[in-house]
Amino acid sequence: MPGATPPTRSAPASARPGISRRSALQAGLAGLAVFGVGAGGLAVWPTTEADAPADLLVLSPRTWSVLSALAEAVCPSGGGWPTAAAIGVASKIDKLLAGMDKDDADQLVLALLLIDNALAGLALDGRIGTFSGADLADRRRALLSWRESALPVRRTAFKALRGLCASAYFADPRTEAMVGYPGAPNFGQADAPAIQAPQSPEAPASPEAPASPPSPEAPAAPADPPEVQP
Amino acid sequence: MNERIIRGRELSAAVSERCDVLVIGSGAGGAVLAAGLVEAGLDVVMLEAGGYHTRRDFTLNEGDAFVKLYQQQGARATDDVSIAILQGKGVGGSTTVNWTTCFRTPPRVLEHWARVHGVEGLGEAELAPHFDAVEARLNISTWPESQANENNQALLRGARALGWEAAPLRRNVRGCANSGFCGVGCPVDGKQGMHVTYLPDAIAGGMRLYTDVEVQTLDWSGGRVRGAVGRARRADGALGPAVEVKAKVVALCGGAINSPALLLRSGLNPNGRVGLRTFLHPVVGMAGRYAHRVDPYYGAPQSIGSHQFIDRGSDKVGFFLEVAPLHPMLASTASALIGEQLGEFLALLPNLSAIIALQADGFLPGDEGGRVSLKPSGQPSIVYPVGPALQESIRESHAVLARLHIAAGAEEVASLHAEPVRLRTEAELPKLHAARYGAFEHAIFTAHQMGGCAMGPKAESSVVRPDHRHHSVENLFIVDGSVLPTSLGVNPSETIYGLAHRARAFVAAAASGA
Ligand SMILES: Cc1cc2nc3c(=O)[nH]c(=O)nc-3n(C[C@H](O)[C@H](O)[C@H](O)COP(=O)(O)OP(=O)(O)OC[C@H]3O[C@@H](n4cnc5c(N)ncnc54)[C@H](O)[C@@H]3O)c2cc1C
Ligand code: SF4
Repeated sequence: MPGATPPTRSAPASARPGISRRSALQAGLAGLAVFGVGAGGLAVWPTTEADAPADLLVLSPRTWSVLSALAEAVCPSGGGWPTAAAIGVASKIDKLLAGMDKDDADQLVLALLLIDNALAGLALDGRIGTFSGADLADRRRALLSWRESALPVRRTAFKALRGLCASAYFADPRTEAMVGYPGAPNFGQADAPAIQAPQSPEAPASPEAPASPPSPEAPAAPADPPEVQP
Repeated sequence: MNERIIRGRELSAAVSERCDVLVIGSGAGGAVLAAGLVEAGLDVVMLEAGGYHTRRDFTLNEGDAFVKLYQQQGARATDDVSIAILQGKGVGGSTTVNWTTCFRTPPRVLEHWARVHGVEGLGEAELAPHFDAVEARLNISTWPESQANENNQALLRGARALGWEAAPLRRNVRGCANSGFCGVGCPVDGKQGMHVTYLPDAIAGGMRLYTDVEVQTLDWSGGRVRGAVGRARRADGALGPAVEVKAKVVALCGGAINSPALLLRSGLNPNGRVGLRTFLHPVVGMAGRYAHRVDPYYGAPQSIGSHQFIDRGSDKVGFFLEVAPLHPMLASTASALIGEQLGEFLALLPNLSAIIALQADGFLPGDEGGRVSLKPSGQPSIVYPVGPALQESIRESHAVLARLHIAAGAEEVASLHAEPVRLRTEAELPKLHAARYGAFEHAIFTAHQMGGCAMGPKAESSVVRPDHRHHSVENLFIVDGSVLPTSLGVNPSETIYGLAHRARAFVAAAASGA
């Protein structure tokens, strides 16, 4: 390559103080330390414990119970909706956290502790007592105040935790009936050959016939035809 | 072909490979490139961070699919979580889960790249044979208007009533059953993703594909790369044995966000440009509630589009219009509602249509998009400011989306603001104008990540040359969506297929001559 100067190695960006950055969530959570909420304080703060399963992967019984209280507030309840507890939202999220980048999982766990922290609740919301100890209406009010908060870290924590709870709940087939979602048809794909043979480029399907039988290995139509169009 | 797919999760001992070309990433760029290299008689090894899944594994359940087939189990987002980032992970990359819309790169974008970014050699005529070739292999053709589902018909009806341009889209499908599950893995292999096209071609020709192996760093010094080191990941997420590959040439095809992150982890950022100018086509949407069933989860997800507002003058961000499929989980994450309100919103799903506006970022002077850097763990950190120009185009997008739904016959239209703005007639549009726009004000997501390793003639302002070769590491090429100098204003997959097809000759020449 004429004229090119071989580059010199730069340190990975995260190792360089000038470029190293904490994510907004981390920086914001660190900011809350001004309220005297050190990690040691968090560890001993009283909380409302619930019956956590024994096989938790990332969450402690304590953070599991905070997340359960949060999930109940995020997800619909009453009127025929299954409860977040019945769907097992907190335990599903525990499994998800185990597969996440550790930085992200740690931050979410820290966010749970901060949400529940009584001192932070008093300082920031005028709330007395823990989040997980509050009744459902108060928990929902607290969450909405986080959603609208002027503190970016609280909006971030709200969005991240709300998203996890709603995803775990609405991805569960037991909520489909209430949504009115008829569910996925069975295309017989589970019985398809293990490795798909390369497809021949010489056999173009006519664009005029898009819904033609997909392939010899799969049934032409769903076994139990729902309202797939056309 | 089976024995050439080596599942990293099953590896019990470290592996050391030697080849002509190491391709990192099996998505749109990596697959098209690799198939051509194999055809040219080169010995190719491919490493893919994600797993190997075929239609047998596609359960069509969103929770299951996002964990298996998306980056960060579907939870990837900007650091502040204001923008949700949908990006594929696994054999086929994002093409295994994408919504199949295909566009050639618009000539005005190619002209902009030449004029503003000095990128030569990417004229419409020069790219045409490459697009012809990928269109033939992937059976890219127009999806008949009569087959468009009701979600897409709403966009078409609304646009026609308003006198705006809208047209059927082209899709990479063959024997598509019009099911609607493109985003969770096509159950009938109708979608011509890389996993059923170029990758089987390459594997049949001798390529070895290692799955579940994430490349940690490139092994380089003095202007040459010798190969890369990756680690397998076991099914339980624990790190497994190392996989080391020595190669004459390395092609980095990890996609935007991941390719820049790998360069940064490798300490390869001589001019400080890596990760800069990352573009997302930030997407905003609007739900329309119709008296009749829409069933927005069934039917080809995207089949109608409009470019009526792509050119809004030289001082404004343009946007284009499509629809998003609405399955329950994705729909729930698009709102910021909780409790009973969330339940009420989801219970409307069968009657909802979601039209979306994708913002064409990166074209205005000074629009630098976002930035990828590294978290302490070495994973990518993504910051994307939604500045005043984007806020303006997003505001305008909301008015356009509302008008479309109303003209298409929606009973009510609701924005995806934390507290949705609701309207029933055009007379209520001022409510939308009065609303706030920007990060956290309403849902924003992206399924199109571009840039971060920009292509350009000058070493000081770009990362690779117009032939995809790294400016200072002569046997390193980057062939994926990260090289785009701006966003596209159209869905990106075909541009990446076409560029990768063109890049075959450059990479093959480097490997043959090396
Ligand atoms: C839900 C969704 C819908 C979409 N719909 C459309 C559409 O309708 N039309 C369209 O044109 N585009 C669509 N896109 C976008 C399009 O699919 C992508 O732009 C395109 O696939 C990007 O190609 P790529 O080669 O840059 O990266 P990808 O296709 O994403 O492939 C990159 C691969 O590299 C792997 N990788 C990354 N880093 C490493 C590493 N360090 N080691 C090993 N492997 C690594 C990744 O796991 C991934 O599999 C959609 C995307 C999504 C997510
Ligand atoms: S609409 Fe269904 S059948 Fe057609 S390509 Fe998408 S997933 Fe496959």
